[in-house]
Formats: sequence, C-alpha cells, structure tokens
Amino acid sequence: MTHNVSERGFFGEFGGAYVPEMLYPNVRELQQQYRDIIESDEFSREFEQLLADFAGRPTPLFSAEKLSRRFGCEILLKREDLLHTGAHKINNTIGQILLAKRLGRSRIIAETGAGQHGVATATVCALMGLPCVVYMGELDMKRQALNVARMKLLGAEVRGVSSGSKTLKDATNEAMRDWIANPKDTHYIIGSVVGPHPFPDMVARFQSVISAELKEQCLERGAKKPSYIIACVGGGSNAMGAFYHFADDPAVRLIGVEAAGCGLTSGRSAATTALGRSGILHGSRTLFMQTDDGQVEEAHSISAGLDYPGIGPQHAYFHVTGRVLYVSVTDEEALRGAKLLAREQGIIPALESAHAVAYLEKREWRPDDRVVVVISGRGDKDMTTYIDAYGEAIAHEI
Amino acid sequence: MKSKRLLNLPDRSIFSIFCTAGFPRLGDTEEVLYRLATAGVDMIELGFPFSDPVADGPTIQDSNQRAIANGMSLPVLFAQIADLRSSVDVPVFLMGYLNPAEQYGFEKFVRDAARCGIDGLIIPDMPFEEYQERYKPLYKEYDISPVFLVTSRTEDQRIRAFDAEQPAFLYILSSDAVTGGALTDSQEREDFFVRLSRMGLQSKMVVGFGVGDPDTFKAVTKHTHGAIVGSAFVKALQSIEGRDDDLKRSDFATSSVIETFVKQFKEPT
Repeated sequence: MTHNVSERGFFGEFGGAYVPEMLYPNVRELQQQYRDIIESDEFSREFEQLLADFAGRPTPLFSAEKLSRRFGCEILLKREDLLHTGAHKINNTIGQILLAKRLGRSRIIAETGAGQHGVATATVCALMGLPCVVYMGELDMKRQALNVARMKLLGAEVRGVSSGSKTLKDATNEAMRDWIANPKDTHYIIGSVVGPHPFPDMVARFQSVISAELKEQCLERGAKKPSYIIACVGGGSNAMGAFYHFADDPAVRLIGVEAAGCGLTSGRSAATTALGRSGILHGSRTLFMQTDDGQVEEAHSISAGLDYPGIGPQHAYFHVTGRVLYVSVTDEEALRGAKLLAREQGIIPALESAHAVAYLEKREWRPDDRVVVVISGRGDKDMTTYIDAYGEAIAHEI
Repeated sequence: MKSKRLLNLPDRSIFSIFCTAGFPRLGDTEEVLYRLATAGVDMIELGFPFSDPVADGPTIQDSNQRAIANGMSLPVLFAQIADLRSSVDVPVFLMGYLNPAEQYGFEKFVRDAARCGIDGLIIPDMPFEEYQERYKPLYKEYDISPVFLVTSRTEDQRIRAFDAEQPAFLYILSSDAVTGGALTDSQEREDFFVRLSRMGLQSKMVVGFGVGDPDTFKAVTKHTHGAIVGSAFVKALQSIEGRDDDLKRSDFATSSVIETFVKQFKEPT
C-alpha cells in the first residue's frame, strides 16, 4: 500500500514528530504502542461496539435523487451528520479515549475549532468518567456558543484562548502547552489528522471506518465503485477517513474541498494547497500558509472547522503526488451549497460539509458517474451564521 | 568544535539571560546584548521570534508577537548582529523554532549565524534523531554547537547520546512546564539534578524554565553548572514600555533596568 506511514511517521517528505523534548516520552510511547493496541481483538471489539451502539454506526449512504437529476449523475451522500453529537468527530474520540484508558491516562485535553471535536471529546469523557479540558479560541467561542454550552453541560471545562488569531491554530498551541505541563497523567485527543506522528495516522485509522462502510455500501448498490469521493478539508479528518480504503484504487477519484474564504487572492482564505508552503507546524512537516519569514498566517473561513492554516501531512503528500485533487470553495459558494442541500434534499449540513456540496456546481459530471459527497456534520451549530447570511430571506419565506 | 568563548565559560554558577530579538523595540537587540555583556552575564540566549512558540509561556509568547509586529525577521536580525563581536565577548546562542530557520534556508541560517559569531543554536522542536541524520554536518561545517533539552523524564541512555554529540551545554528543564511556569516540587527537582550530576557527563548542565529570582538561581545551580533566566528578564524589559516618564524610550532606561536586573543575581546574597 503506497499511502502507509513510514516507521518514523513520514508520508513521503511530510509528517514526522517535531516536538520539544518535554513531549518526546509521550509521543514515543504512543508511537510504540498505538498499532498493537488498535489492532488487538479486544480493542476492536470495544471500539466497534461503541461505534454501533453509542455513536450510531453504520451511517446511511443516501441516494440524493433530486441532486442527481439536477447535476446529471448519480449522487450519494455519506451521512456522518446523523452520528451522535452531529459529526464524524466522534469516530476518533471514541478510539482515542479507549486508547487513553489502556495507557492509564486519567485526564483528557483537546483543542476545538467549530466545537464539534470538543463536544465529541466531552461526550466520551462523560461516558468514561474522565475529566476533560477543551481549549477553544475566543473568536470561535463566540461563533459557536451553542457547542460551548453543550461541552459545559457534558461536564467539560472550556478554556478560552486569547492568543494569536483566537481560533483553532491557537487552541492547538495551548493544548500542546497543557500537555507539556501535564505529561504524566494526561492524554491529548487531537481532533484531526494533524500533529506529531502517530496522530495523523492514528486519527486516519479511527476515521477510516467511513470508507470501510462506503466500500461495502457501494458494493451493495449494484457493485459499482464511486467515480468520485468529495469531502471538505480543514485539517482533513473526514476526508482522510473517506479516502482511506480507496487510496490505492486509481479508478476512484478523490477530491478534497478546502475553504477559499473570501477568495484565493483576498488575503482572507484557508485554502492551504493553493496558498501554503512546506514547513513545520504543530509537530509535523506539512503544507501551511505562512509569510516569507516562516510566520504562520491566520486563516479565514466562514466555517470555524475549516479555519486552519494547514492540512494534515498525509494530505500534503496526496497533494504533491497528485493522488487527491484539492480544490476550494468560497464562503458565498458554501452558503449556497448549504441552502441547496436543505431545499433539495431536506438536509441542513454543517458549513464545513456545505463546501463539499458546493463543489458539485463547479464541474461537469457524466451520467454514469457515481459521486459520493461526505456530509461530515449537521448544520444545527451553524444556524446563527445561516440566519446572519440569509437574515431577511429566511424570515420572509418562513 | 566548541568556540574559545564556550571553553572559557566558568565551571560554576554560569549566569545566562534569554532575550527576544527586536524586543521591546525593533532596534533594541544590539543595545540589550551589549548592556547584558557589560553588566556581567556569562552567556546570552537570543530568541528569534515565531508566531506559534508551543514551548513558551505567555510572557515569551507576547515578546515574540511584539517582535514580529516590530518587523523582526532573520534577515533583519543578521543585519543587526553583524558586528556583534566588536562589542560582546560572551557566548551567544540563537534560540527559536525550526520553521523560520528552514524558510530562511537552514544552511544559510547556520552560515550567517557563524559569520556573526554565534556560538550555538537552541532549537527545541528539532528532533534529536533529525539533528543526527540531517542537520549535524552543517553544524560541523560552520563550527556551531548544538544544545539539547533534557527533562526529568529523559532516559539516561538518551542523555548519554546527547552528551556524546558534544553540545555547548545540556539545557536542563527544571519543571514540566512551558517557559515562565512554576517549579515542580523541589525535592523531586533536586533528585533529578543529583541523578544527572552522578552520570559523569562531559557536557555542562545549565538549567532553564522557571528560574526567575536569585534564590531559585542559587538552588538550581547547587548541582549544575548554571542557569538561564528568561521570562523574568523579558518582563523587566516590558516594564520599560509601561513607564510613563521621559525616560521611557531612552537607552538610559534600558541600561539601568538591565544593570539592576543582572546585579541582583550577581551580588552575593
């Protein structure tokens, strides 16, 4: 398999574990144990059981007939939005909390952007009875007040981060600082396929359940592989999960949709593959947006979950090798995508997932194309943004 | 090979200061270095700023942000310290994160550091294995010494591997925390230092993180060769900015703050 991580945590030139010595023992312990733990029968059983009974897997593959007619191809929606807590993030947090228990950790920390990973982490901590601290940028706390309230109701402590851009990048820094200060009792549940090895590979494995199901579901429907799989990419965990079991099959074309924000040349964007360069951020060598001097630039997207200046190292690798096509969609286009899915199929997607939907408009499809769009999360958390965007229009039509 | 300046370091109570380049004002770098050297510090860590310094606490994060906003970058820094050795004769280290150095071009970074008379590099997020496999030849070529961080959880075998690379010194972390944090239980810390001192290492051991006052300095240098004061000094420099008198922006203010700060550590208490 060409997309496997190397022993030292690299995907081609990307990846690795660029952490200060304070985190070396923690990262080393994870590197040495994660595969044995994850691959054990006992772990798999518990993981699968919780995915089924607690999270609600498998998620349906829904045939979107009106969209199919509209775009002249077969469109299938992978419904991660139907999962418990409202997004794919729970796949990873269930996996990591089970791992943390086996490593004897008694305290959990996490970073969150849109709040979906924070909620998913707070949820599994409540389930397992472990204390939980979630770092969240102050700007994101305002944008996603509902998720802040959910985390608190679940018993987590939400710590606002006021440094830098006050968004996901800074929340990640602060979570790493917490881990440095509390290395012995704490496990850091990173929410995306980013960070030092083994996190990108580990999170991808937990999320790969999406493509495992997808493969089976496509077989059941006329034994036809997807022609395309389209997923949004912030750090890139739902996309990596959806691509995972198709990565070695060149017949399946993979498309990652990044957030162009106000436009690629606007200076307010989060489209890493278009605007980023290779460097070292948050413990791995990857692509991210930075100045000529190597200072990390602030990202912008209407969607808090895509508001991150980098992508996971495996995505960087898939970009330079051409295995995945990375494209971008603006804030405006994503809002239209959300409305389209709501009106045509009765599904209000998260703003993140709306980016993947919006890409349908940007390309010609052939009648025999089978196009899978990953609906990574539901839109409840984004209602304030939708109301701000459509304001009067929503009110009138209601 | 270690520089003459490194070989001339005292064997006990090395007093070292960390400061951020381009802080508080862009043009303060040389003045601060010069004043530190004349005030009697034994060694200086000069931080080059990064937007996302994960191993640093709020004080040094702020100084990094401010330095970047002031316009500090590696090209600016190397221009500022081109004549460093005409006025400063203590060892000076560049300390910062890997990304700015890599974007500048790592070889160019090491070469320009050497040209300015820098003695060594402290790059906390450079993995030791990568130093050995990828970067070491450049350090050797330009006679720049590495520095490795050691925590109480670093295994003996790994510490010995660091020691074998002949670093300028081993940067001993006094606590599980980012810079400026509180010290851990002093007995635990003492045990760690004693364990290190019994290992028979070749390298000097200099303690950093959480050393902010003369008493702590004294305590942590009992079993080690010296200590680095960072956040407390950066805070002292910040206080110049906070002053509301005519002296605020004068070099005199900088020099008197630095002299007073250094004096409290140098004078026998």
